[in-house]
Amino acid sequence: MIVAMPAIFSAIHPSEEIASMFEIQTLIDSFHESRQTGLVRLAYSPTENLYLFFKRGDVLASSFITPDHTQAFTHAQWREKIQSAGDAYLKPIPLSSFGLLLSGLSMQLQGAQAEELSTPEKLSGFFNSKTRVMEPSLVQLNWRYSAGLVFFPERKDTPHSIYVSSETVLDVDGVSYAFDEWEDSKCEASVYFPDSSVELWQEYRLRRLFADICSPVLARFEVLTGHALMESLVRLMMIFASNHDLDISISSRSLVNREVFFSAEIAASTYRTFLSEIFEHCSAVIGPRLLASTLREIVTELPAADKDMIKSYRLLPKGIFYD
Amino acid sequence: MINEFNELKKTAASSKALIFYFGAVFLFISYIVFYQFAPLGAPYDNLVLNSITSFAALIVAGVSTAIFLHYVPGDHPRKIWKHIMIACWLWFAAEVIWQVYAFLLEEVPSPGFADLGWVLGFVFFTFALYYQYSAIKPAHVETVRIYAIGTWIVILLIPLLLLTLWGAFTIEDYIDFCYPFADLAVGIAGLALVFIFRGGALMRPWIGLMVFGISDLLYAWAEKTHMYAWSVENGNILSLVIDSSYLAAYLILAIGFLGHWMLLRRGLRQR
Repeated sequence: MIVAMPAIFSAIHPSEEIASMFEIQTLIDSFHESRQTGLVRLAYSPTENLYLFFKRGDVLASSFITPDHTQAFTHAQWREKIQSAGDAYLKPIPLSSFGLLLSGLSMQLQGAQAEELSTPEKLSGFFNSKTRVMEPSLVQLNWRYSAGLVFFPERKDTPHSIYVSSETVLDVDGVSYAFDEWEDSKCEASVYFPDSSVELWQEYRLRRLFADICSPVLARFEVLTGHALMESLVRLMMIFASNHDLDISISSRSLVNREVFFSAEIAASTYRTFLSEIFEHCSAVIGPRLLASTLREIVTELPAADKDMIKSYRLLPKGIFYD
Repeated sequence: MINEFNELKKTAASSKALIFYFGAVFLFISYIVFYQFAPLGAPYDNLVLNSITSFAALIVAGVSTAIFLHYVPGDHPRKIWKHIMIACWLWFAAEVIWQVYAFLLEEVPSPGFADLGWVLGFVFFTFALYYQYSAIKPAHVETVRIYAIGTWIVILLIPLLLLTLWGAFTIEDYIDFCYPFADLAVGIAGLALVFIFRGGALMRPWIGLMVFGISDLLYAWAEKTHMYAWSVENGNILSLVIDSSYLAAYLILAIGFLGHWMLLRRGLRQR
């Protein structure tokens, strides 16, 4: 059976109590003070929701969603909406930065038809039949009072899933166990594939490319220079990230990216700056020639679409030659 | 070039490095003074000259050991520096043996134990170069191995073939003839690494090896063409240039190693 998909995390559980404007403001303040990353959903009616996306305590973006349209709100607009609309059903959803990116992505996606699934077994069949190996996909799941997102990256990498119910918020690598055990009602599932017109798909691809470029450079640097200089590079990059208020670090030779921007341009600019800094340090040790040839090798292995993306977003700094 | 110059400025700014540079210049000038003016008379001037060379070889071996010890097990460069360290100690041993022979017997036997040290040193440098190229071209390790083995076959076969063709084969001539080819191979491998790491700190250790190749090749050429003996007999500057370039090669190798050791100790600098 095919049905229309409601907005993610929009269901209002009977146990939810309506919050006053003061309580909403208190929650926003507490998110700010604790530098919380996550999502706050304000439901003004079952079909009218304001979503605030928090990154380390600050509102990064906001969306107002009704059955007819999805509207991105400016800082002034969401403040105004909260002031004017009054009480709302309030749901704080703490998430990882990647979880936040997926939530935002799910709200920018449209057009997919939902399929109704009756049992958890059918859900795993749905995952297997609808997702593709060479392309990332986002599966949105809605039950009566709970919802989930499962992101399947390309190349059979570990999926990432989010499950939100009235009592639980799960934001984990892998397919959450919550999707194996549901009994309460039928599940509506829909799957989305990359669409270059969707800004957050672009941000995801930039994030992925950033890791795809950075990790092999770091691995090669360690092979050439050893553990001590790698540690030294890690320390310098930590200082750099801290000076630029970035939550990106290097751990066990790989990149840990806890950043989210909700803007492909800002993401590209940040990644470009970070890569530039890494390259500067690597170049001082292994030399610009070897660094350029390492980068060429890495870029050559990438799919054509990724190469185009590197060019269009100027992800690699000036002076580094690549085809 | 700006990168290299800035890196040199940073390295030279360290007081330890400055002491080392002055020490190297002092050794070099002392060598030239003893070579040209022979103030102590035979055989003591030669003893001093050979001791300066052995001391330079000792410094190279010492710094290479310090670098090796700085790497932790599992580090790929540890493999490279293990072989460089062994090669450097073998060369130091060869220098000392040669010096002792020269002092006691005047005429150094050839082939002798000193040659064993130098030849084995070349073998270990080959391993070091092999591991270095493997790190640079991990996808082409087999090719690197073939090149390394091929180069050694050429080094061993060409002198053998030539001497046999000329009907002048002796072990002494064979070993003497192998040196220029080994020097050339090491020099070219060093030059290629300097080119690959150009502008980066990793090029420093290989500059000395390249200079070594050139210096040794120069000596082998002069020796084979009897220019060296003629120059020594006539007090010509050629023998001074050749002998001092050999010391210079050790000193440059030591400075390059020291730069690398200092980089490992202090780590990368914030921009």
